[in-house]
Amino acid sequence: MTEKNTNKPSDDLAVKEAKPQLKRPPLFKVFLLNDDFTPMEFVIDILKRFFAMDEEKATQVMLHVHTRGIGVCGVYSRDIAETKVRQVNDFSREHQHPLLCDMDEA
Amino acid sequence: MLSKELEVSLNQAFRAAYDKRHEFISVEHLLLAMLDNTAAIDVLKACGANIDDMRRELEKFIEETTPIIAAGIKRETQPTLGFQRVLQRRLFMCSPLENRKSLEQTSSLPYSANRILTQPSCWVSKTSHASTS
Repeated sequence: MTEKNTNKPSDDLAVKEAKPQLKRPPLFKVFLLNDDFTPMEFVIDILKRFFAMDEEKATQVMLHVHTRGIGVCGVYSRDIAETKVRQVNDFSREHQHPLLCDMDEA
Repeated sequence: MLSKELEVSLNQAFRAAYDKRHEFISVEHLLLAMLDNTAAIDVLKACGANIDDMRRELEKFIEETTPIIAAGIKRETQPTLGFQRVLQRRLFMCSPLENRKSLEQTSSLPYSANRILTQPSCWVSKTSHASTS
């Protein structure tokens, strides 16, 4: 009952699958969001502990978060950014602070 | 649960990350370690991968993107969330299987390679596709 293929050889067209377009996956920036409850010292401690910043740089970023509401801590591959965000949020909750860390495409 | 080969690759990945004081061990570390394993090489070659290219690109990517634990700081190398997911999924897939043979098959390297490819925005999966195209 199957239909017979009636295409003549001259109608055949060799079709080659196009190569997939590739690009490097994007990097992600990890940032801290301001809130009215987390002490400045705790934010500085986080920046030094998880983002390998010295006191001066950490203070700068903390003040940026404080005055502008957001501060970028670093740019990483997605997997590493995700892990850093989790580490910072877990650490903040452990110490009963509502500090929020998040990531976005750089 | 783990096949001997996979265990060797996992150990190798951890040791490499630890020796280089990498802050994290990522999915890329795992794939790089798997490139020294004949079972994984067979699977990758069957997919048309160029092993030397992959190794070179992976080493470059790891050097460029992995944060280093600064000298003087005592901290353990930690697995990234992606790395944990790869292992968890593999274990989830093989745990309901009662047949011992299938258990061995799913806990082996090719299966882990397959789990890696499902990671979102993961550099490894892009490289694998790139080196097979």
